[in-house]
Amino acid sequence: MPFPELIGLDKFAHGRLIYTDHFGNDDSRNTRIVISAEFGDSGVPLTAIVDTGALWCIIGPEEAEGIEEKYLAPLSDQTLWVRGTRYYGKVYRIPITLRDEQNGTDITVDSTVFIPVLAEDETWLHPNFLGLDGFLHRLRFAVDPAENAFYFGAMED
Amino acid sequence: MISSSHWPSPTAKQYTHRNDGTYPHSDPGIPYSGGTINFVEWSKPETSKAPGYFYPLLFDQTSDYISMDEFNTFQVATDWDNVEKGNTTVEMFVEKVRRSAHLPNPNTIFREAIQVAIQNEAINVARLLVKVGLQDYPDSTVLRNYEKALAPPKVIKTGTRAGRDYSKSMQWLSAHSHEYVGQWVALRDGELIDKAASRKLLIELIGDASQEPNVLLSRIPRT
Repeated sequence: MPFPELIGLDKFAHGRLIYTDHFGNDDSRNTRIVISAEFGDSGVPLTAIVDTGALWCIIGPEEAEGIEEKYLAPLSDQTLWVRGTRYYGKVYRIPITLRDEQNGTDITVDSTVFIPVLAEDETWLHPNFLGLDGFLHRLRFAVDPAENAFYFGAMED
Repeated sequence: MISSSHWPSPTAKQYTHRNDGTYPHSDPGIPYSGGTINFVEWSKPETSKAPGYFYPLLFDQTSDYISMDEFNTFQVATDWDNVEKGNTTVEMFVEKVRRSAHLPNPNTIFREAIQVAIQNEAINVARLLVKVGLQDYPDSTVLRNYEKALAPPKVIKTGTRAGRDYSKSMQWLSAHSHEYVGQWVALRDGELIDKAASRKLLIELIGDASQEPNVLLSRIPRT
């Protein structure tokens, strides 16, 4: 049962979208919350894990190919640990949009995003991540596992 | 701790800053507002990047400066470890970085310290380092870029863009994504359009469909 009373400009959430909790690996221990999100202005959505344990948003090098050039001026070099592996990469500010799927409102957040730069012998095996400090920190969000619904709202600055 | 085997015997010297706020033997023109600085002088080791300069060398964790190894690389991580172990405070760590920053390049040690803080997910320490660094070096492009990168996320737009609904495709991913691990899939309203080994190949396969509002492209990760 959806909770439309949660959604509105002056309510807890601005919008709602459906997430998947099984993604890729068929291992039931890998339950996760994966939502669609658009990086940049392109309108091309990507899938990304909601990860409150991740510092920043992280997207794979292939996904980054779909982001407009104007957002790809790196602000700094950085190494980050991702699931036990240390990656070198670059840090960007990129708008990320969550699209409402139930008569609500979309939200765009100016976010910090890490994009790994892989060596020739490296392969990016990981999903994309929506991190806490770089993105989720300015959102209200709630999950309804009965509907696989992800409610999101913008915090006032 | 610095291995002394690579070095001629150092001679400890103590300098106090001049009235104009600079130190003798430090980079000229870079102001420093601290009090006394302890340097150890050595004579042109082969690995020195700037022979003739005087660098602060630290021999224990209680020193006032970030330590350097025999290759003149700041050992920020070592000092950060002392914060993690409770041997020193964040404030003392930041002050150490600040005191050491004018040798040899103000950007170098702040950048390294910020990177160490980020690697350790101490984002508020990284922000503090940026703030302190910009007080001393307001024209530093490196620090200005870190200021942008470390700014908290900000909601910049709300609105609606009709016709976007990926809910059925997300349900498809729940049911079938494990069958396509390591591949890219294109989905439209819960149906598989095509699959490929890379994003580029997938877009070539599906053509203009990649721009349709309800089409979702997803890489199915291995982990």
